[in-house]
Amino acid sequence: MVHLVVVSVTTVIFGIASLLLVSRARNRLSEGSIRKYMDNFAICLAFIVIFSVWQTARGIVGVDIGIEGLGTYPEYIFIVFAYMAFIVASFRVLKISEEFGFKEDGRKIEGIIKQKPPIKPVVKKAKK
Amino acid sequence: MIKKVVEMLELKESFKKEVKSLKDYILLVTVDAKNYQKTAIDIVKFLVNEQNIPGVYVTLNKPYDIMQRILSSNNIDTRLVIFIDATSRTKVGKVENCLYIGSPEKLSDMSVAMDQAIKSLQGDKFLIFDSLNTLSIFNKPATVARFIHFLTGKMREWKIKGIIMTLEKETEQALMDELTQFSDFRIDRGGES
Repeated sequence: MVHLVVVSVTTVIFGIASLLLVSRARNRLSEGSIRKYMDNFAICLAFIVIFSVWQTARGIVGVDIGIEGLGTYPEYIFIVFAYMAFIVASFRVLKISEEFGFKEDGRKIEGIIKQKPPIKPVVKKAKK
Repeated sequence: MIKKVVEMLELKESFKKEVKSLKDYILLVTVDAKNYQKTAIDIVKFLVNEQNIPGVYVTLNKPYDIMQRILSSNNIDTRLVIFIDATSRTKVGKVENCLYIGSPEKLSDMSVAMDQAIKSLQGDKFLIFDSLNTLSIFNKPATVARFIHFLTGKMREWKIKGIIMTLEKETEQALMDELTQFSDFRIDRGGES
């Protein structure tokens, strides 16, 4: 039981520390796609942290909070929300990769350069 | 007219003399408003047409459509250039070989875009940043200074031919001094106003 509490508290500390780090990183970025992605990521993390806090509190206090119709463990709602936020975040990553992914352009340019004849160095004729 | 031609030839010669043999460098080009467009065209022409090097053109002044039209009309192969357009506020996303950032204030996005675009190119490559003074209009001086410090550092890391363009009279002296310190060469195309 004690071990479980230690693990839960450690998880919560890690979660809160991660949120603080994300917040610091977000403040350094200017408006744009990367910052929006970070917002999504922070929301996912926040839901997971709330879930962990709830579970830890329940473990320490030993109180079962049951809301009728929501099952035995209402904290799992936060996990559901976290996964929903993960979907949004993953979609945003996909959009970012479409925007910032230049791999294909690089390949095309390489092909064009290969097709072009090499530039001959200009050799100046020596004066007689 | 003759004076203009001589000036342009001087620019070409000084540019070639300074950088032709170098694999990677950071070049600061200060220009006056009258010569701005011509200077930009000449630099791209030299790199793309004469040296056959692909590269990235970050434009904060003219939108991609206009830039492409200008470069194409000067017989520059724009297929070798990836454009990053931070002027057009209405468009965001990628069209052809251009990424629309959406605003010159989105410096984080601009940095990521430059990094990805440069890394997608093989061999020798260039990056033209057009221009520093426009960046200063939309961002705080401290932010611009930090961005330029980041950009020059990255240019060294990427081992590319980096060209930073600016209008001399519109750029803060402290920023100019700092930039001159970071760059390998400085070409002044001041002229009379």
